[in-house]
Amino acid sequence: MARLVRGNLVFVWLTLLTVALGFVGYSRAASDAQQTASARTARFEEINVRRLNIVEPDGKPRVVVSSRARMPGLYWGGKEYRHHSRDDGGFLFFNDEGDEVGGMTFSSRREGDNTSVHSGLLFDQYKQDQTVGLVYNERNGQRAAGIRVWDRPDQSLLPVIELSDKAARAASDAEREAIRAEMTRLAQSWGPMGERLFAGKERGASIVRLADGNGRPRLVLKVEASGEPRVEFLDEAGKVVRRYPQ
Amino acid sequence: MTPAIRNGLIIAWLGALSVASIVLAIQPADSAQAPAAAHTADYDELTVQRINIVEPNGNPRVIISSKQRMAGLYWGGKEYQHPTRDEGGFLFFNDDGDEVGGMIFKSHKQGDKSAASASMLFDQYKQGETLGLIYGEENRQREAGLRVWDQPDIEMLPAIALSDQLARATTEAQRAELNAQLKKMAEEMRGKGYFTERFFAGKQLGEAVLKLADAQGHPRLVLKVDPQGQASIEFLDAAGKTTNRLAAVK
Repeated sequence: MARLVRGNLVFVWLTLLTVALGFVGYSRAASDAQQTASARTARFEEINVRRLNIVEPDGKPRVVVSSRARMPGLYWGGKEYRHHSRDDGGFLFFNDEGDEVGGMTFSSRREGDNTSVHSGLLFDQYKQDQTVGLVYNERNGQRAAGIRVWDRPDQSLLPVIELSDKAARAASDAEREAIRAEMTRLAQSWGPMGERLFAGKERGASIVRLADGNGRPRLVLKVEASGEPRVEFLDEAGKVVRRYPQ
Repeated sequence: MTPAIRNGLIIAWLGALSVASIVLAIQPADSAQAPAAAHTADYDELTVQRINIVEPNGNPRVIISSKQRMAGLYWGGKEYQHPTRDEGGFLFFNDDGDEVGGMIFKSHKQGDKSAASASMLFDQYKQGETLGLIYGEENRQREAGLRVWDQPDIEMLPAIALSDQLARATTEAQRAELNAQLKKMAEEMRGKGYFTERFFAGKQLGEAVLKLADAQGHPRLVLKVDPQGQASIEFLDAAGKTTNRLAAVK
């Protein structure tokens, strides 16, 4: 045996080298395969992405985080409809049925001297539109910021969403405006959907405002920028019927 | 084996080994390449069921997840099972790796009955919710607004550990026992301000309301406008009796 080995030392050496190299090659291939399999979960230090979709196993969206350019349309029942006016970036939220139920968006527009800015976190009523939100708006230096609560009708928003899709596909501006008018008419036919509460600041004044079912302010607490504090009861025409301090 | 064949064989074998070595050396292993590529990535669109934003030590900072893959309850960077969580959305975490809030969206429909909710909640340090923007409805009975709670000065870890055991319990007897312990713990905390509502501004069952409460959770100052427009400011005592009332008409 010893003689045999000695006599074929070169072959023994080559065999050992072959086995070693084969092992290196195999283990590397195996670890690569494992890496591919674990792409089901991956780790990064940083990801830059124009749009991120968090989806349920059936593909229905749960959260979408998107740049303005890639923002989706309006998902309802897991189906995507086009949106006639959306032009924001940020977050969209979805319920168990795959309906869009809110979002958090940030926008700023500047045209010459005119600026228009908006940030908001909004939650929608079930099968309807926004019912509560933290909202900041500014237009040419006129600012409002606070919490707002709205009433919404019981009807499903779906017919309006279908019209919105139609408006987004309209061939001309005139056609789009006509469809938008129809959307407004339909939504208004469902009944009042006024703002019931605002607490925040508006045009320089700090305000808490409570409104009736038609969105008419009936009780207002206010401190003007100049400092006068007031509590006012109003009638449905907006006339102050009682005021503190009297 | 003649020396010539022997030499030829050795040279061929050496040649094959050399080629293999060069290939292995030149071709970078994916495993070696992966950390570099994983450092930063760039996509037009990414679709996932869950995303974890983590600190370098692995503690979560934000989790956005489908309902299906939602995380349990992280506390001190350790994950505990959550006995009831059944929702998708966001979870937020502090520097200790404790869950400190979240934003979730739910809906449930069965025949004529439906329920839905959405909320963004921030938790007191080492405790439960202290501030929330909330919306909820059940069979068209709705509320929406901003709510503020007191919570006790008690670290919540024992309750979290118990609820983790509850989630893992295999028998009804175990579950009953753990539920009883959790209930007792909640009772003890209740005396110390557990989920005591101090403030609400929004709408509740048709009324626009602003409500300020004492440390026992009794509303003591309530501003209200009903759907028809009846407006009032009421001062109440601890028993809920109106002691002073302002309205448009006395």
